Amino acid sequence: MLILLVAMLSLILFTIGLYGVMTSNIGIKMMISIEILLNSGILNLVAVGSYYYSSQPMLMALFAIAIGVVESVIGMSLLSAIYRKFGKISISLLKEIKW
Amino acid sequence: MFIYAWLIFISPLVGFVLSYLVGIKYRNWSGIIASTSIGLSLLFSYLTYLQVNASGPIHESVHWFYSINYGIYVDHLSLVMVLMVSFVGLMIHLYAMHYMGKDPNRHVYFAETALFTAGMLGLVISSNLVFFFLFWELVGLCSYLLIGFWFFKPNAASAAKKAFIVTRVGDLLFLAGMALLYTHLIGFTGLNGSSPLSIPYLINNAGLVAAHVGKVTLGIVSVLFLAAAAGKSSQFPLHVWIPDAMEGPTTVSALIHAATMVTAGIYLVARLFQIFQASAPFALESVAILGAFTAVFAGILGLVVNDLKRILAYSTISQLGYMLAAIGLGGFLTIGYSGVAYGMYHLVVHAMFKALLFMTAGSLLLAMMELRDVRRMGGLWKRMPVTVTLMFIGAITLAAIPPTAAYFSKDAIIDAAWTYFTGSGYGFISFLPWLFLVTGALLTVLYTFRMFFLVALGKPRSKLAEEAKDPPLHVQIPLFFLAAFSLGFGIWQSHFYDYISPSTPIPSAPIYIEAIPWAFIVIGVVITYYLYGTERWKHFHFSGNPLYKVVKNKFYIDYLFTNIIAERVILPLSAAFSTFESHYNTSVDVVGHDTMRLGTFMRRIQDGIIRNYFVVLISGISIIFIIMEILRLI
Repeated sequence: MLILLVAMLSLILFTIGLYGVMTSNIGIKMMISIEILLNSGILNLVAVGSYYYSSQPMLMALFAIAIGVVESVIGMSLLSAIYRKFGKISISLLKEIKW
Repeated sequence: MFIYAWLIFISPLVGFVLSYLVGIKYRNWSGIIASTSIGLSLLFSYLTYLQVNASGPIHESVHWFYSINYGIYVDHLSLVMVLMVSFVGLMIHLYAMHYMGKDPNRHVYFAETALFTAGMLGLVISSNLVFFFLFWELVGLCSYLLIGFWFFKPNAASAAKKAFIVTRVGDLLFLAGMALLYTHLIGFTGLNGSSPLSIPYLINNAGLVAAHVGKVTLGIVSVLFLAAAAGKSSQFPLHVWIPDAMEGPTTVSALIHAATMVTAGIYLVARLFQIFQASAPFALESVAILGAFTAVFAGILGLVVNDLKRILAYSTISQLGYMLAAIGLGGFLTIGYSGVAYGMYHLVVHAMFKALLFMTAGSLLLAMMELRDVRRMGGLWKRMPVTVTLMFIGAITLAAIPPTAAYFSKDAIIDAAWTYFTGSGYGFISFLPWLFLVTGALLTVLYTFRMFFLVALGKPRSKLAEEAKDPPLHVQIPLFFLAAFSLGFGIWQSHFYDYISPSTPIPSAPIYIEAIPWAFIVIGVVITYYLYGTERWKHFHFSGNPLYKVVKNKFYIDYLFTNIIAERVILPLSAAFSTFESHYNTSVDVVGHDTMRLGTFMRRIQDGIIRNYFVVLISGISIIFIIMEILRLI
């Protein structure tokens, strides 16, 4: 029963993150939403691991956290590059670099 | 021991570069440099001659690529050629300094002639057929450049192109012959590490090669080589380029006809004589028949031409036919390698007197302002006594009147043909060479003296001929040398024969057969003097005669090549191919264009709005999940 609750929490977090990514225009807000998305996934993994008394999902969760850190660093450096170029961080500015 | 033979062709190569570079600034020096370089090759040839006499044939070869070597091979045959080419080349270069003395581009001319001579000398002493072919092509290229030296004349430009294309036909067949020989010989254990196309290997082991390759295949190879020789030496039916090649400077014609170009083909057949001999008998028979036929054919054409240089050109074709026939007669057992000796002797003698004739013609044309029509000359013996006397010496040598050198060389060939006829059972085919050659002797006398009498006797028939004068005596010194050789070279006949092939018999025939050429000489001189020594020829009009028309149009062979083969066969083919190519081109363009258009359309999906990407991403994943669920339910 508890696993269902945790899964529901994870689903709610995922939906919030997705909503944030799709509606935000500001880069920092988008990064935060992506982190929420990632964490919802990790939460799900941890829940499954504790339910089955297995350590492998936990390992995978640790791995995902490490990847998430790296991903956020890359994202932040991209955003700072955009800031240096345009003077503000607005995702719609990136339209100009298509094709 | 230092091998001088390498320097024989390297010296004119250096002369080629130097005479051009120096000539840019000092035009008059280029001729001197070119002549010096060729004089040096004459010197080196002589030193090589001494070396070969002392220690036998020289063979040096260096590995080049795969199993092809480059190097030099000097034996008696190539020595004779090298000495002849460098000597006659030197004489022509010395005379050209006078003849081309006023031309603004004479440094280019001398550079090209030096390269031409270098190509020919390299061809003669090269030890591998591929290396040989390299120089063969160099000679072809230089002939193209020199025939078109006065490229501003449209005739000269088209003549150069014609010469290049026609000789290319022969070159292609030469290449085919080499490839055929190479594919059959590669991997043959009898090679003993030598290159399959090495000339000394081929001529020393011809029997072994024939046994391995097969006599008929080797015969096909030989016929391909004969075709190459026909292209270079302008034998029927590839003779069409040489009369047009007269558009170049006259000294170039002398060089082409005497020393450098046309003798290359004869030399190829003589060089590979052992291969021809070891293959099926049809190889040497076709050499003999082709040569003898060309001797008559070109003689007939020479009778109706009015251009001074073209008459000489046809006489060259005819004399080359004699040489080829002599070599071909070597297929007959009792003649054997002596045939090469007969042919080479005639080649050397011909080089001397043909260079002489062309250079005297050059003097005449300088006086006549390049007006080459013999009908407009006349009476020049009184006005240009030295030149026309030298021409007379050339003419009697060409007509083989005893005791000039050509009498010895040509009569030997005709008698050898008679020996061939009697020795091979009086067959009709074996009668043909003698018949052709002896008819050719009559024709030679006729066209030679027709030309000579029209030039020398009678009254001047144009203003230019009235005012013609001899060139200064010192520029004619080379001509005196050549005239002396034309007259006196006959005393070395048996020496020469023995030098090429030891203990060569001088062919003889019954006295009534020997007398036929003599009778022809008398008949020919009488007829031509009766007609052309006086003004009687003006009353004869042949232009309505159909036979005359056929001969005048060169038996329609040029017509066949240009109007039928080129226009009706090659042009439609090339048009068809070009249509095909343009369609193919369009199809490639259309594919590229349509791909671009598709790309222009498709890239609209990537609009740069990140939100839309997420929509596509999420919906895609959702669709995949839905499909997976459906699949699981089923």
